[in-house]
Amino acid sequence: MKNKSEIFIKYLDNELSPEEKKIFEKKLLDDETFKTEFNLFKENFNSLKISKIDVNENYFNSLLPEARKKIGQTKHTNFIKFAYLLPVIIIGIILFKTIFNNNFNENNFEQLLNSYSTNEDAVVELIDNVYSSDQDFLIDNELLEQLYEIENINDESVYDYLAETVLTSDIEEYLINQLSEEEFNMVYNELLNKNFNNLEIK
Amino acid sequence: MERNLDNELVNQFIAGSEKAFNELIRKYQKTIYWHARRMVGNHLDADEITQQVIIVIYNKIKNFKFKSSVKTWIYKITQTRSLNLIRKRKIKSFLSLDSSEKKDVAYSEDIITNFEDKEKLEKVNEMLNKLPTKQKEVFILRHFEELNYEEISKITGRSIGGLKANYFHASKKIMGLMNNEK
Repeated sequence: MKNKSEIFIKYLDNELSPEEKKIFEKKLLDDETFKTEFNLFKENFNSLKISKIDVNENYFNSLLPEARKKIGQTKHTNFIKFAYLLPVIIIGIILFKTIFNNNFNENNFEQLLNSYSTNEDAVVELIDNVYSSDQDFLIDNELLEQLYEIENINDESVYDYLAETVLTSDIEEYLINQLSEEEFNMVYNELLNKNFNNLEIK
Repeated sequence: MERNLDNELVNQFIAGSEKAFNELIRKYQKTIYWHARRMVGNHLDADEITQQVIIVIYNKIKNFKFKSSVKTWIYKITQTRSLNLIRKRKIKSFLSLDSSEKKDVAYSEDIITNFEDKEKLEKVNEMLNKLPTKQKEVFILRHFEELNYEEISKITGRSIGGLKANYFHASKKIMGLMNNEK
């Protein structure tokens, strides 16, 4: 039998099959202890939602005027921005051509990165732009679904590992590219051993 | 009904009514703020995101195609902005650029007037931050915002099956963390 909390979660999320739901609700009616356990679980789970938070309403009253001020400023500065943007675009095109004419590689990127290193935000922005993408999920949802379907691999640590890998993939990819083949193999073997240790068959 | 009203406001704004825009924002500003706040965990960042989202809505709403609901569209913008901020924060901490002083300021300013509420919210945030970001976003949208999986799928662009799996694991982990605290 599955862990009780798992069934409680699925029941509260309306994810039990009609048959399972029937059995569950019958158990609630027949078994007082089970009912108490469920009610306690439900209460705890819902306690995360803080029903009413006292806030300074002035903040929400001033949100729109503040945003409107910024919208006004944006409109006003759009022309000025364009005037600045034009030479930046021209310089950008020249730089782009120069970089590619010099066979752009990772060393060029390092140089470029170093040249930006005096400005924190620029570094963050640069890396974010270079390594971010809307499709930055290396492991797709179909695979996650398949894993979810296979009960025996429905192990939280595997799932968390996948979820975390998916998210940080862009940074990790950059790091992996910095490793020599020997270092890469060392890390790979280490990971392989770790996975075997974590995945005890129950 | 609600969807029609939103669409009506959007159409009115496109036709030139600034009042309609104000009404739309007043309706959704708390939703935007609290969603951003749960995602990023503090007032200052949530405030920044909320302002950004309002500006984006103002600038982009004229291109709104009515393919999804306005609510879903607003959530999507808020979600993207929040995830961008989280990603930038991760890169900053990876490069050790985020000073602890900055963090302290971010956590000291707040709009919550009740100390107990603030403490409780911080505890919830701590637990949420222990989840992988994908689980965290689904858990927030499902548990706190009470959206259905179809809506969440439209916001996140992920399959319903994957979302259900994420929510299940997030819930299990959160309950585990709550039990450990007792």
